[in-house]
Amino acid sequence: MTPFDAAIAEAPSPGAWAGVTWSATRDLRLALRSKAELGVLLLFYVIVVTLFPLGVGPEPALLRALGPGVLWVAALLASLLSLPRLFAGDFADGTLEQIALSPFPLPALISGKIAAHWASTGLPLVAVSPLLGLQFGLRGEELAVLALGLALGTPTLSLLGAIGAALTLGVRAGGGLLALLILPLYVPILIFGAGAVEAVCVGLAAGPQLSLLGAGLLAAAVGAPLAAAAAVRIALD
Amino acid sequence: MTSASINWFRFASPASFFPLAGRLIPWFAIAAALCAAVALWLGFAVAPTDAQQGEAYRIIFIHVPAAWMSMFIYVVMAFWCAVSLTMNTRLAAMMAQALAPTGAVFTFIALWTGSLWGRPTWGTYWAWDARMTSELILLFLYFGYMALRHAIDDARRADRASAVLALVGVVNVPIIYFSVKWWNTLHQGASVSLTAAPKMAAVMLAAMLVMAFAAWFYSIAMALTRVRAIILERERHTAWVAGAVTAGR
Amino acid sequence: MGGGCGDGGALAMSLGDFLAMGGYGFYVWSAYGITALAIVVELASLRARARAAEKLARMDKR
Repeated sequence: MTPFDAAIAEAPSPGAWAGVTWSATRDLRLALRSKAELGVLLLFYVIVVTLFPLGVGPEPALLRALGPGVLWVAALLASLLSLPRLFAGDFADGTLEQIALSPFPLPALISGKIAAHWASTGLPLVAVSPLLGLQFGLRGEELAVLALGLALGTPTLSLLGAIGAALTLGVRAGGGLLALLILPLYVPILIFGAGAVEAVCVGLAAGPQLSLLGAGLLAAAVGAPLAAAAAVRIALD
Repeated sequence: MTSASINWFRFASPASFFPLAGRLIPWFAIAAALCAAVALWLGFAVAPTDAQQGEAYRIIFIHVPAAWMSMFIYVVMAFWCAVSLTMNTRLAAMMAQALAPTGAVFTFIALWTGSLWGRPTWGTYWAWDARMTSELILLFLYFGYMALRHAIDDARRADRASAVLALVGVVNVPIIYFSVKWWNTLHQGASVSLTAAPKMAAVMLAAMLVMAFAAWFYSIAMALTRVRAIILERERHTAWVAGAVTAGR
Repeated sequence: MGGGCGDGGALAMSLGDFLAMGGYGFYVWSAYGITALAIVVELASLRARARAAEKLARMDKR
């Protein structure tokens, strides 16, 4: 056996989990370098949420009725706006091609990317949502269900959005096209997320809706990286 | 290969499918026209007036078949997309490409006729009931497929990308329908039962079924015609196309 | 029983009654009209596409 073969025999075999952690830490490090960009995304969420009372008037009962829906729709839009940064940067400078060629399983690498994406774009939304919920007159348990629902829903938005982002890599009119492709898929998350808060507002339990959001997250966590990996390979061909 | 058995996979090549499709189109077109005529006669001349809805119910003879076709075509389109991805074939992707516009047209018809049926029957043009809302989202799914195809210049990349999109869509359609249905029952309450069709007399059901067949044959004729145009567009640099257009087909 | 109270359907109506459709004429004929329009538009645009494709194929032949 040559020293070369010996080196290959000793090298750690790239497993799925190693791929996830590698790409997640890399993307998080990159994201933390552009904190301004992330701040802008968070600010977009806050501004959009603030626009609605300006549009419909400050009447408390109306705002309480609208609140859950508005907070969720704005989260969908903020997620949509943040999606291009998932792949576009790496695609532009050729890193994505290297990532696809690496021995790690591509779905694992993409899972790590999505995890980092959510941590940098979705998690801030979850953190700030109770504050914004107060603006709409939501209280205690309602705010908790709002935050919990967003915590379960925003990763799913990132997961499904990754498929759309990969499909529209390098395609003209990408932003609007991405919205058209992804928003229909977001509808169930919106319905159950907003429905959970509305249930608590009228005194019912939000258990069923939150369970469905959790189930959706699990299903997406398994399926979306596979579909996104297929889409990335198609884009790179 | 004996003359008694046909190798169906031969028709997976655009070159051999092209003339076959051309021969099939007139039959399906005639069948569609005949079925439509029979359905209209059954629906208007034979079917009686409905006790609750009066004459307005006659819209269902196009609304329901259009809605059925809009969903059926999406599933068939997704099927051809799956074939094109797993077998890496061009013709299956072209077939999916050919089906999408017809599916979108039927979705459009279902939405408009449903709205026009809703106004006299339940008092409003758009009531956010589960089926109509899901139908609207289905229209967005069709448009998304067509827009993605159109935005990607390379035909094979467009094939594959839109195939992935269609498969993701077809998996999500039941989920979307379930979530919209849940949302609707929560907000609508039981007072307005929008999904209750009039209790069918046999002749009403017959008219609807015959019209559904008309829509199906029409879709096949349109899809075959469109796939022939797509084959010409995409394969025009090949020798067989040059031969075919010289011969005048 | 929801079969209805009329007996022969439209055969029992006069032309005026047929067009009026029991007062719902606007809705029924708009629905059928839009359907017919959509089909005509699809047929016309497909025909144009097929013609253009043939023309393109003719031009490209070596």
